[in-house]
Amino acid sequence: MTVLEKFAEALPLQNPWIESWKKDGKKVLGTFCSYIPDEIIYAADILPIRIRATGCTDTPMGDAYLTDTACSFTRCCLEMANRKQYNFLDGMISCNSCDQIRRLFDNIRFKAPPPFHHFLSVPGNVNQTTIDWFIHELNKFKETLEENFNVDISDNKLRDTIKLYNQSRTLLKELYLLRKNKAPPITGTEMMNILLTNISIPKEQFNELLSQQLQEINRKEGISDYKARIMLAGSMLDDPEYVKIIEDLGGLVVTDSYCLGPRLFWENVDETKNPMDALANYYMSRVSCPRMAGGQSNRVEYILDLIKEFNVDGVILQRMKFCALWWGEIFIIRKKLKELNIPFLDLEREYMVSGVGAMKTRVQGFLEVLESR
Amino acid sequence: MSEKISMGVDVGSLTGKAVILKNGSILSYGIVPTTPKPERTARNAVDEALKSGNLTLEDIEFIVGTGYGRVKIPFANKEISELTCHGKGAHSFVPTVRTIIDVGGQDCKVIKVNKDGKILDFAMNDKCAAGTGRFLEVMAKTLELKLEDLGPISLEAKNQAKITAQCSVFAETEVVSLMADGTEVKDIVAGIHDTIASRIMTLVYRVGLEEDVTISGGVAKNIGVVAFLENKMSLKTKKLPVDPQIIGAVGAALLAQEELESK
Amino acid sequence: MKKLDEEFYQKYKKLGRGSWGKEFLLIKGMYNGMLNLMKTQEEFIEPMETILKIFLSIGKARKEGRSIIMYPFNYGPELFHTMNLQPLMQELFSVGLAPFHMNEPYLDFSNNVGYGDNPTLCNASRPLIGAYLQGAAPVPDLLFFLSTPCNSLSINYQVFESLTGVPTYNMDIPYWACEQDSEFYDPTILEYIITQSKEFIGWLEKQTNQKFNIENFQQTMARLNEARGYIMEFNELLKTVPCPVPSMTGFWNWFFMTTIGGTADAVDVTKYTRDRAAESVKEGIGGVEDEKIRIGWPYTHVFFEGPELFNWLEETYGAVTIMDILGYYKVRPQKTETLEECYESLATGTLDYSMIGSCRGPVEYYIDYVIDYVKDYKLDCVIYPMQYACKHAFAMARITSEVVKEETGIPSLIFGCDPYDSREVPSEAIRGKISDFLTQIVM
Repeated sequence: MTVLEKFAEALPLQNPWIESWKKDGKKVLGTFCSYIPDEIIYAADILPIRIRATGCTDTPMGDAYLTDTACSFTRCCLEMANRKQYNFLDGMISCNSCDQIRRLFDNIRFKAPPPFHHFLSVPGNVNQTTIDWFIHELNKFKETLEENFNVDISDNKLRDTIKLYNQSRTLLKELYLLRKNKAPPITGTEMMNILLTNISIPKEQFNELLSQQLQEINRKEGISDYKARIMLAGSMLDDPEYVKIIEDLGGLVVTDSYCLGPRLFWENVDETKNPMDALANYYMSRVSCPRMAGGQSNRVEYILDLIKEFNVDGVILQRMKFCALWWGEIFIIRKKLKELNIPFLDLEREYMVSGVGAMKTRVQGFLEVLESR
Repeated sequence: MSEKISMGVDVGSLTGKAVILKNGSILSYGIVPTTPKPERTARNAVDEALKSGNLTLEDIEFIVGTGYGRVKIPFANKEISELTCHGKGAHSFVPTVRTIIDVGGQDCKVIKVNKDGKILDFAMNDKCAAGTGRFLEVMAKTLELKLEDLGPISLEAKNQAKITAQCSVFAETEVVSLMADGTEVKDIVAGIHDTIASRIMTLVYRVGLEEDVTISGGVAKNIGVVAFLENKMSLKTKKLPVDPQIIGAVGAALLAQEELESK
Repeated sequence: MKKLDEEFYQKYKKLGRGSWGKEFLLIKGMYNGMLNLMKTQEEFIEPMETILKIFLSIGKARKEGRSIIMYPFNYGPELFHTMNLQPLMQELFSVGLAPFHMNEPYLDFSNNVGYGDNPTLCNASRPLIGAYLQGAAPVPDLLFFLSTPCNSLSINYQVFESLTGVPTYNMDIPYWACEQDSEFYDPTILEYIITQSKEFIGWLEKQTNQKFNIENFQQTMARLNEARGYIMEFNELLKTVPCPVPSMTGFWNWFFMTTIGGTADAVDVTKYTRDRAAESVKEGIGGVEDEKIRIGWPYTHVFFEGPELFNWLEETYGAVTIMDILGYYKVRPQKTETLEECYESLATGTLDYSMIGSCRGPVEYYIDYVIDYVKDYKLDCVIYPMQYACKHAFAMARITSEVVKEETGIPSLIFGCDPYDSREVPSEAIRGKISDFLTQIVM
């Protein structure tokens, strides 16, 4: 099995690594947002995994409780929770990333309560006062974990875990930067598999796989038969199938900006600071998502930088239907791209890949626009 | 030297079209209703075009397929999006066109092209029936009128009714209550045409309006929709000299011809 | 109680004449709309006059040299009045325009430029962007918003900031509660809000180049809490059967507190409403002739209906709608003797505010809110007129109605609509649903 094939094994919700972890009698907690510092959980020797709703096909309960105008990701999650498909988790951690996630957690607590749950109140903007508040929240979180799981999360443990996670970030960035090449060594679909593994398996094993991958890649021939270099940006995306549709039509995805993308590993946590301070500062100050007030110009700059660095021909902006935050954000991104004459395609989607025909028409049309430039 | 014979095949949601070009002029074409199997629809359209052109499939040197959802047309040599094909097709008849409005049975698109007919931008709507032929079909049934009579009737109205519902499902209910209130049928029909034109204009705004403008697709045959659109855009659109339904297939055939010329 | 006479009408007609400037065209429209509405009213003339004065004040802000600060519907303007800034509540452009259907062209324009689509973005915020892009909205000097209760508001302000470049300040309102007996209690939350409020004041000082006057502040807070006192009394009086005032009278308390809270006018107008209710209670008369049903309405008006929907309910079913989520919010007694108490009052006020108190945290806040509403006001039923685009609220309705049914036995109706756009779910459809509910289930 190649390393890339090994990464694909992490795609189902309950992957072999999680099974093995649980066999050792250890706990797994599901998280709903990238603002929740995984390091605190892993320092307690608990595996944090990002909750996905992979495999959900219909959402009658989600529709009834969250209403059918809620984003399909949250409706799928509620459905999965109701069907006991998250029962392999020992608990769930959520935060106020957005309205729909917040209410999802409320509905889960009432209708399909996990054995343990905790909520973090993440501030809506970034300054010293709000960072201090976040430190307070993280300390509360740490204490709740310690009490509930009878563990001790010492500063030393936190430091070690931060180092481990930083190693991941460094390796991921190293791999990611190779996509700048004229003939990138991996496709966007393959990169997404890796990014999904990043949020689904224990970090030591992930780092091992990643190092192997980096070694193998140096012997690999790059991909040169593509029609255009594409940047994919927008809402939370965790289905490689979506990226594959674009790439099968000839658009090679060379860089991205969405929840699981490079904002998770572009910088490292400061290892010289007190760990809680370092974590709070890091998670709050890295490139934000549209929920953060005051971050819009940064986020747009970040996208423009990536477009330049990775020599992007066109941007595909995708947003989950009914997502207010990304709708507003894409309105501004589009305006900026138009000003700079950077071509873009604006797509709406549901959480599970659907409307493939319509998507293919638009993507193909877009690639043809790029070809004629 | 071969007489360049190329073909474009466009499988849409309601009809399949095939156009045969010989040395750049339309030799023949066929329009057939869509069947559940897209390959069969394509074959039916092609057979009709071949028959009226007195040719066989082997005579065709290059075939470009297009149409909704990248349908697999097995005998096509290449597949190009309907957006590029429509752009090419309209531009070939009206070289000054820059904004192409295509209103089909179940979708609606607006395509912006440059002076060479290459597409620069596009906006599509295929999730909502309110700006498409489907809307007119539903309304014709509700009003117990023939689809082809709707356009002329809409232009007779003196007191256009306002259809306020944005969704065609609710609009149907609204039309029924307008009829019950005794509103004149022609006024209701005018209101319906105004609504459909408004929905199409949303897409026009998205790509930006630039003259000249053409309207293609099945709904282009409705003089009412055309008139309402021209009114909203404050300009006269340039008429296409062929059946507006075949524009996509013409474009595909032209692109097929280009493939032959580049060999 | 004042009655509208020709002299009054002419006086205000004259005051509103002349150019308000293109940017205040819509405010002028609301002013004239209100003045015309007043011609048909027999009572509540004083509060309506106060509304006219609010619009006039906005229109004159530039001429009178007041910096305009735009902020959302769920934050009190006491700091702005303390510093003689002109508060401009953003929702005037939706709530204020919807009854006159003046917002719909801007919604359409927003759609056309690709900003928003129902039900993704809430139409409470969208008309502003549409109006701005057509040059029909004022560009404020300052922008302020909270991190709650919703995303639509947050992204709308971020977009507006990106489009206009106006200096913007955001305050974080956390999830937790400040009451010690709450299971969501966090002891540091009040201090957090006070710190942020003081930082906000520092920012305002810098932006407007003036010093925050402590004496002004204390006086403003004292007046604010006097007004709150009247609202508390009014809320108590509302519990009487029959309800002493017509449907949704309390809604105006929210409107005044959010536009002129802290001023003497706010004290007068809240006293007026309290007196009106007290008088009716004394005489044993109800706001609705022959009250048969008491309805709870724990969300917002269907704004495009104006007062029509509630008039229809009163006339057809003898149903009084006690209050909506904006008018009915936690108002607690406050102390303002010392400066520290003033800051604390400012902080608790911020946390308690309309929709913030019930919707900023876990669904339990909302459930408790509705259950208290049902019990205290002796409701017969609850109607949730939810907005499709309002994700944080609509996703609570079902759970809440289930718990309320379990605890109180009271039935609920949940339906979706767009309160700002009459074309989405029309009047007849809404009335049909309510009719069915009242006739089949409640009566």
